[in-house]
Amino acid sequence: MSKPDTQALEAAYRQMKTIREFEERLHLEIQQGQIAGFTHLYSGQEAVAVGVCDHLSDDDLIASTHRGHGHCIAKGCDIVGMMKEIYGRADGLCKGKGGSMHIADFDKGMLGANAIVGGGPPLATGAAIATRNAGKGHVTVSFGGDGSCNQGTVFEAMNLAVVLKLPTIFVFEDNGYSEHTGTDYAVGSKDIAGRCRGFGMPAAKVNGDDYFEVYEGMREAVERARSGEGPSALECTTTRFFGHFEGDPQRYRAKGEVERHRAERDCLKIFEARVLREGWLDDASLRRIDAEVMQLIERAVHEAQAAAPPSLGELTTDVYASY
Amino acid sequence: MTETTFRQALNDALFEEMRRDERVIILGEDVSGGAGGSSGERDASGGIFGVSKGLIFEFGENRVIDTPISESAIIGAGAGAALAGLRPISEIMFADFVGVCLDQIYNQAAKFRYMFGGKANCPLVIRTAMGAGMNMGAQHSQTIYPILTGVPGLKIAVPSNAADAKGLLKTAIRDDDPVVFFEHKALYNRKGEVPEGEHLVPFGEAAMPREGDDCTVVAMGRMVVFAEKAIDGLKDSGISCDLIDPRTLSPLDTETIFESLEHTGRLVVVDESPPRCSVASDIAGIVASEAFGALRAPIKLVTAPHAPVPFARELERAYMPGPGDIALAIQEVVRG
Amino acid sequence: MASVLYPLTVPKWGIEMQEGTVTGWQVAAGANVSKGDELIDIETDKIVNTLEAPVSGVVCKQIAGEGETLKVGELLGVIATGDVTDAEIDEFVAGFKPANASFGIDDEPAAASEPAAAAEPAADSAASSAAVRVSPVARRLAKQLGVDLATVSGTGRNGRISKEDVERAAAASAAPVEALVTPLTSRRQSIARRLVAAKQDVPHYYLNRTVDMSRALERKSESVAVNALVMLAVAKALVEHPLLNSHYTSEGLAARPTVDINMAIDTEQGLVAPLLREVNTLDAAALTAASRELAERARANGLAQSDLESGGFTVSNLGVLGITDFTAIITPPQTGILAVGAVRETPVVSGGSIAAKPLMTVTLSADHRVVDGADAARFLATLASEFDSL
Repeated sequence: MSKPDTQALEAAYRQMKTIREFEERLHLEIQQGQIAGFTHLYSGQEAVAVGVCDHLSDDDLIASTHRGHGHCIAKGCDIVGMMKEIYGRADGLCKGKGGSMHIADFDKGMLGANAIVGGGPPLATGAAIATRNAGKGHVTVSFGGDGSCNQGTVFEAMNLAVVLKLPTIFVFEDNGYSEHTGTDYAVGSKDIAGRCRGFGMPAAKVNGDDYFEVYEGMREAVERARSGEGPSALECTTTRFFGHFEGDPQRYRAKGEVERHRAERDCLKIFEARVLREGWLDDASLRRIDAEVMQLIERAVHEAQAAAPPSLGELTTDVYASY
Repeated sequence: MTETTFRQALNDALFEEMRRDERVIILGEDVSGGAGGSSGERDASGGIFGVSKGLIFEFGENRVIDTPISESAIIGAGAGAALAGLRPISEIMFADFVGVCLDQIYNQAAKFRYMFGGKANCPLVIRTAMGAGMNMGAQHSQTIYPILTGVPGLKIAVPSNAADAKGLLKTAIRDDDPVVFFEHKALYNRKGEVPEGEHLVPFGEAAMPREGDDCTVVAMGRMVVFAEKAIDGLKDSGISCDLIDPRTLSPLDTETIFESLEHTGRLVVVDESPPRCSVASDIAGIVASEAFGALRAPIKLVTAPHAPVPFARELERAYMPGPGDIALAIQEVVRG
Repeated sequence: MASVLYPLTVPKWGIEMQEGTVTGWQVAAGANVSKGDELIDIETDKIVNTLEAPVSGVVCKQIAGEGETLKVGELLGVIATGDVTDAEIDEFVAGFKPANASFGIDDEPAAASEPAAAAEPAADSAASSAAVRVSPVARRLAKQLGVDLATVSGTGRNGRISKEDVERAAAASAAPVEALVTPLTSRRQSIARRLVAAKQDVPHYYLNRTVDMSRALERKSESVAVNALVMLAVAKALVEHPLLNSHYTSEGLAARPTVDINMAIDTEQGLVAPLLREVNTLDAAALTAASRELAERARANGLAQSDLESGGFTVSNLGVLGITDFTAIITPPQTGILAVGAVRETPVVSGGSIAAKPLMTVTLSADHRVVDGADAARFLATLASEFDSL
């Protein structure tokens, strides 16, 4: 592999690191009771979101999941606005009305996180009809977990995308667990990519812990979509460092599993080792990015904590465009 | 009487009915939990709210079935197993997910008996957690029972306390019709007295946890708790109320509502759902058309606004009807 | 991290966790720990789990002891990620405020006490799987009426006992009520006898008319009572219409030479109607004084036999008791009795505009053997005009 663009590498690292620290900080904030609700953290899966979204512009559209913070950040959503949303503040990205599971930013081509498993793929499929008709070569991507690949909505969306030859990519992140149940149990064929091929589209399986593998796997799918050849699927095996939701005691995981994954399958460490070994980036620039990211996260938390909650008048606004 | 949580009362009901009748099975996402994956604990969750905890060790994987995240299949398979002679309990983790599998509920299970000329038996129970108050946002907080209460062929249970949770669930499991059983998330930890021994609560028979003279308050699910609080708070101001907890919304014990109204002449209906086509508006409509003569004041509804459930804590609090809203409504109908 | 001191707080495990009990510390005070090390075992109502170190540092303070139960977000201990003095640690602990929400369930605002506990467990919901099925309202009614539910058969939903069933059972089983009998006083006996006779013998008919009391109210003063003005008006009308001041006998109509009017008075012992004599000769003030004196004596039980003689006509006024109109029974041998209602401000359309006027409805009961309807109506017309010319 020839040396990738330094700026792009730094940007990828910065995005992955931002997601990581955003989530690790949320974990602490939630444990201290600072944040309400039902939060699903993306830590451990950063290489997937960033490896995929590094191929996309603001005009390419994504549909995300309940575990959507990583997708939002990788697609360019404002960190402070996201933090404020998760804190339920009036100037959060969705005015505090959506929360962690419902962050959207249409200016960035982020069609929304989704608290219904399997809710996103049909939406991305429909959005691909729009980008196809617009004829500007823009594509759509749906993210889904291994759990979502068992939903009928996803099957229907995949078939429709093939039938209509739509410029969309189905990304499946297999982090090992559908909520509290193992992928090996819940996915009968134990082969998500193979299932996608059954619908008549090419599907690759990559190591989702490795940014470069995801990036390369995605390149082909995006090129195919942009050139009007139809949908593809990408299965990324990865891991999550936290529970299904914050507060999940994770009794279904063997003792030490998470620690082992953190030691051996940390996509940030894998990325860092690779760029240092190849001499693509140096340690100093990585540490400089680390410091900047920490500062940004600190600022986001600080601003979110200081921000005002929505006024009660907001309760019944935004239900309709007109009524 | 034993004091126990709403959650434990449901768990006891499941154990008792599964021991009593081996045709009873339970299926859903993580109803046991921990299948596959690394070798963590089996029965790691026992349902995400712990209601089905422990079942797998006694009844095994043929009767306690962890499913993939496939709501349509969970309901459809439950309905099919019921047609074939089992008495399945299908669990939909959050009631909002009924959106994914509505066809299997309202086109399939609900209509079998009628469409097939009375030949089909579909003793399916759909258990699901509902309700706002935990900052879970628009897709994990709804009380969707009005949508299903309107479907002929379905029975709808909405328990408000531990004893009724147990008694209604046991009745639901023994019932030969499809029953949708709504469990309010905020009630799971709430303790209450549960009678010892076999305890069944019949469908279509309301309870009256408070008795009084000035107003009839009808509330369901968690709103019963709030209504009790409101009514108890009004005692000092000289207002007393009949509080009716219908317990099942279909069948609905209109008889008890009418009987109480003949006594009080005033009606407040409390419903956590938005007001349009809600159970509150349904009860108000029934009373207006069948018991108008008993009314001495206009009916008042206390409901959520016509909006999805918001995320921010402050908004969600404003969204949910609370004891204060209920007390105000009672005072308004009583004082005119 | 901004601070070198980091709080260890009760974590939130599970969606609904609200508090946890410390079952043990896995490290000693002063221990060096790395992020992720197991620190404290905490038990909830669902599970026992272990809190891991959120950051690397020294466990500089252990606050929660074994067996202590704390709410989510409350302080268990403190980790120092750098050098700190004891004073700084104490200050940190003293100043620590748990996040405003342990979140989880947004339970009833200001939930001071459990209302369920205060409630009477009563014969409620839960116990209704017992043998008898009965609606809650029916159960309450049965208790009130003393009906034994075991003896009632239900016709409600699925054979449940309804309110109607209880009412039916109560009616069927109702023993004839032993009424408390109070012996009749002689006045009661007299009233009963005379009024039954009057209703049986006298062919009553009734006419009513509403009169304008504006003028009467203008004249009303401390020494002039409205009722006296009414009596006066009646007296003048009787002078004009002597038929109403005569009575029926088998020989013929007996005309009364003087205008004497009985005034019905409510007393503790019952109704009495003492006589005011030659009312048409008195002025309003004298009549007021006379009728007040008479009423006082009537209420003090101090009426003489002569006071109770029958005059030619009776006036009964229930207006003071809020009655707007009513019909009275004629006291034989009289021919008429006037039932007087309350004076009320009433909207009156006059010349196309609405004005409030004090109106009063009077109802004449008349003996058809003596006087026909038209004559009686003319009497009322005169009466009405008398009020205008007071």
